[in-house]
Amino acid sequence: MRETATSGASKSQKKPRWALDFGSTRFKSDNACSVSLPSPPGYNPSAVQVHAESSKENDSSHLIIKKSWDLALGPIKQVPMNLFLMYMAGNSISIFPIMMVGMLIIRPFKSLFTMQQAFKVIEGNQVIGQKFVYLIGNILNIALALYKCHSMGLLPTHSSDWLAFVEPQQRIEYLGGGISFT
Amino acid sequence: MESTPGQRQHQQSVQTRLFYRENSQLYGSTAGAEIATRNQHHNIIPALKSSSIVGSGKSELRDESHRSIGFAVLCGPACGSRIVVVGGPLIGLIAGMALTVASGPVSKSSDMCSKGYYILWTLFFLQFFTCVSCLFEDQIGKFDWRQRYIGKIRFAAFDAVSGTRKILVATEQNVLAALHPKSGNILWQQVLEKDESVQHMHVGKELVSVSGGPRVHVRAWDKTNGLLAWEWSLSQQQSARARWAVDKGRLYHVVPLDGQLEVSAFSLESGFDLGSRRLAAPWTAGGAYDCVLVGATVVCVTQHSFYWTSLADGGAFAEVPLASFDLTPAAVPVLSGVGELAFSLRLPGKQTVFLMGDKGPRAIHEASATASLLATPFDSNIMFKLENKPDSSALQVSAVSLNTGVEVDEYSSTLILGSKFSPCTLTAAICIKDECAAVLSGDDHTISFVNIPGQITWTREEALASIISTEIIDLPVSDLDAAIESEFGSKQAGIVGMVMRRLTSQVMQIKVLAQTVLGLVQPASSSGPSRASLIRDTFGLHKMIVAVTSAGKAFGIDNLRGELIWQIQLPRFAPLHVGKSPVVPLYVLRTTSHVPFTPLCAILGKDRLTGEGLAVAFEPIKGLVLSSDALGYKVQQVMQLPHPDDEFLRGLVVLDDQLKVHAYPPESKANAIKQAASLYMFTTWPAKGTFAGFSFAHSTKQDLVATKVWELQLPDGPDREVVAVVGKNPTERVNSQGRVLADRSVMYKYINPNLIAIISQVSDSSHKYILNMYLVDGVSGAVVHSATHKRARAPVNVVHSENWLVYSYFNEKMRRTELASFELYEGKSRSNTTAFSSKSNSVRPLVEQQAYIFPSTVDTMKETITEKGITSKHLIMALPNGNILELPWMFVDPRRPTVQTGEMRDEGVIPYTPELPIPPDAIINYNQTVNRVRGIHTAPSGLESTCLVLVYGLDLFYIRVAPSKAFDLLKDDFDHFLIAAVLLGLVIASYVTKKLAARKARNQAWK
Repeated sequence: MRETATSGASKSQKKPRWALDFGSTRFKSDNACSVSLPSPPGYNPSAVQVHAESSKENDSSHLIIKKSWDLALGPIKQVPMNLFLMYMAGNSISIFPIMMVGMLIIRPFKSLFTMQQAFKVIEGNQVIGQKFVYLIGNILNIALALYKCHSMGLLPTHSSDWLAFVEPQQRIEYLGGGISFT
Repeated sequence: MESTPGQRQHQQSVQTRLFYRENSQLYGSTAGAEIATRNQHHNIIPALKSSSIVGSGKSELRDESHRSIGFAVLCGPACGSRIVVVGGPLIGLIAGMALTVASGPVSKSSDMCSKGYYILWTLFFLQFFTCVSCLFEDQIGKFDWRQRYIGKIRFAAFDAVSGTRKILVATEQNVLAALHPKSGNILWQQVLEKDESVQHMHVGKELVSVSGGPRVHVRAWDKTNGLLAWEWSLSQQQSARARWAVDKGRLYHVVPLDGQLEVSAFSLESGFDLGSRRLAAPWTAGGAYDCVLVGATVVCVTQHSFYWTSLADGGAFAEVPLASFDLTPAAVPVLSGVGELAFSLRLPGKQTVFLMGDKGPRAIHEASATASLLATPFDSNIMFKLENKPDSSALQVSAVSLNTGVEVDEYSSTLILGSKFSPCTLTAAICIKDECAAVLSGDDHTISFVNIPGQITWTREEALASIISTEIIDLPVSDLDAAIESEFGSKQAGIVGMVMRRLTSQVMQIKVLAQTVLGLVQPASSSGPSRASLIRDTFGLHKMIVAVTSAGKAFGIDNLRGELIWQIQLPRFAPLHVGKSPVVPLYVLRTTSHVPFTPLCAILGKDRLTGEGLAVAFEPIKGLVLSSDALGYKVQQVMQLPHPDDEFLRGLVVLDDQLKVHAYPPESKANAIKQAASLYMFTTWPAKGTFAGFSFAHSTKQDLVATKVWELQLPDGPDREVVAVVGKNPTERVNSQGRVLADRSVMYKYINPNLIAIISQVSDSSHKYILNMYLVDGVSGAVVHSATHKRARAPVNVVHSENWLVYSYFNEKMRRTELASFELYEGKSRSNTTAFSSKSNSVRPLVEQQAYIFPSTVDTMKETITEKGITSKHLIMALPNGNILELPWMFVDPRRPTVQTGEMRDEGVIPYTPELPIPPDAIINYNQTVNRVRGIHTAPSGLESTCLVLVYGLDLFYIRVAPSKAFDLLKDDFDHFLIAAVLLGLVIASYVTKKLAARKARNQAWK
């Protein structure tokens, strides 16, 4: 920025071909330069400076927001991947599908429980929304995993799963007898 | 293998040939194809590679494939511990093809192709290997035992001529057998036709038996091994007074006709009819006479005279008036043969022995009317006399010389029987030199062998061949446990008393512990069958079998080894009858679990003399008769109370023939009245085809009253017959209340404990016979379901359990036995989830039904039962060839689909095949034939997996079965030592490595 200002100044003054003026106070401050030299067309140093200043400030917060949104949207982004995995795993009950389903269930639960920790570093006015999205995403994942469990038949949703707890009916009447003895 | 001649042929064809190899002995069993290798370390693959084995295997498979079931079974140590190769006719075909393919190149180039040949064979056998449980030779008799019986003696004779001495007997159960005179063991046994009887037995060069009903079979048997020598048969007029005699190679048959005696003669060996004559005998007209054959002479007596004639020359009857012997009987006397030469004339009060000579009968001796007389054959001329002395419970044996009629003192002896006394008769006697012996037959069906002079050397309890009802009872807990029980069980005890009791029981515990540790006391299970060892074991496998016989005797049998622990005589007790078959209701009134109180069983029957009801209560562990009560009424129906009283006694409710209600024992009346509102009883009058249900709800506070609440009348038809009425086992428990379908919904079972199955048969002009089956609720009288089988008839065997019913019947059209199977479901929801009441239940169950062809007739069948009802059910079926089959109920499941769909496969239902298999490895009695099975009793053990089975009939067979395999028990060959060694090794290894690791870490820290 300083260099551009210098080159602009040297262009405007054509008296000496070149001169080194170390004593000049013109260069002591940027303000002086801007006063003495006209800015190139379309150049607004204040605007640039302000913008640069604000963009610098905005950049880090934007990154944080971006990052935090990334974090919040992570679970939702996993959904298609999980869907694909689930489709590939099939409904048979064997060790790998079971491991996958286990992971599918455990991961969202784990991340739900560590949500406070995950959002600790993140500040800002969007935290609530992010947390909400994060929560929704995880719940969506859990729902997917449960659906998978259901389609694999791991959930006790059928009446046959409760058959073992069905008590025998109590007998009200007692009967005896047979063919008459002679 | 013993069987009737007809069956034997069949069995021989089913029997597999035995395969022998040098280093592994192979055994064939009667079941058809079980070959157990004795050498357990022997590898199965080399065995199959050996060309000799493979060769025999091949021929066997081809032989078998001619029949519908083909198989070859090999047991080996691989595959856990047993391997069975099972193949069918298809395999035989494949085997043949494989062999031709393989053997083609063999002839061309030898080396290479013979290898291929072996590989092919090995592969062929390997693909049919399936794991099935079968038996090693050393397991025979480990969990099972068999006892063989022959029944009450009808004829007996000594065989002193052939090499080994033996006793030849023919029994009332139509069995011929040879007994060892030293031990009483059966040397050989021939079981003849059922429901017929031996009419005559003659011991000559061979043993000749005349047996049968309208068709009489004359058979000769080799005396040494019991093999059939020859056989012929003839038709005969039925007559209770027909007599047979064998003399000089001829068989005579004497039948009284009206006013005549017809004597037919046959050549003994060929059956050639030598003609028959009719002898005029006008004195037979009124029927007031009695005849006996003495040798080849027929002797008859009327009230006034003797008549006799020789069968051989056939002259007219000679007559001697009875008055010439100073006999003036008031009624017609009874004649009985006394050996080959003499006969006795029995009058009230006395009997006279006559020797038959050429000039007619000659009186030689007088004896008391009750004495049993027998003259020995051969030339010893001695007649033995046996007198029963019930007062001193002894038998008096004496001898009389036939020549002089005088008693011979040296042969007299007194046999004191004590409590086992029962009147006996002499059936066979022999004298060789100066030593005599006799075979006695008791009224209680015992067979005893007596040395004369001397004592009884052995006794066979043949009453066990006629068991009517059995019960398997838990043994009591040990004294120590009993002490603990009584500590809590007693009602009145102060604090001090309680403390004292606790201290003494703990001192006892310490004592027992110390003794066990020091090895002074053997654990209860391993010691012998003494009274002290009759203590409940950990798994509840050791029990007491109580068996009541039709011979008026009850037995207690140890179930592990089959020893008789006790026997009680029931002198006046006679069984009740249902139709023609005897029944004895046997109930456990109080089990052995309530220690201060004695366990109690009760049997109901009738008095031999009055015909009125008789109840006997006894203690089932020691065999003590506690009371024998004449009831004073005729028992019509009986049931046990469902709930015990304060003293843990579950009494009986008895309905008499006047439809009055009684309680037995009378003390339990109050308890019965208390429960009367929920008690129902039904009874059947088969002759009328009527069923009636009674309620006791109208009982007053003093009296039990039965009110008829329903009546069911079977439709009238020609020859209508109630074939079977079967309720459910009241001790049965059903664990699973529904059946899981493929879509994982539940079909709830219709478990109605009051359901009874009624099967009746009527004859019909177009269909010959029709079987009707009704499922009736015994409380409300509602017909829940019914089915009809056209052209089907008895014999019917029914098993009714849980929510299913299986019965066998004979299909007349196809001439085969079939099994019909029914299953009842409530549907996908339950009408009442907590209680089942027949009165309020309006559910019409969904019924699944199916019929199966069974490739054999069925003698009797029963379902297995376990403690909690978790284990799957099997059917135990007794087949007429002496096999006991264990058929999983799954095979007769009515839901077996004809078209196999994926759903059904998920459900685990086998696809329908019309014919049921009889796999040889499902024959639970392997080669131990069980003859003429009449009943099967099943009882739960303490282990849920195991069911105890007692099969009774002519023989007794006990085994324990595990329908769902022994899932709660370690196998016999479980290697405790190896497991312990491995665990110990691991512990030591972990300690050692810990130390090593610590050292290494320390060394590294110093570096």
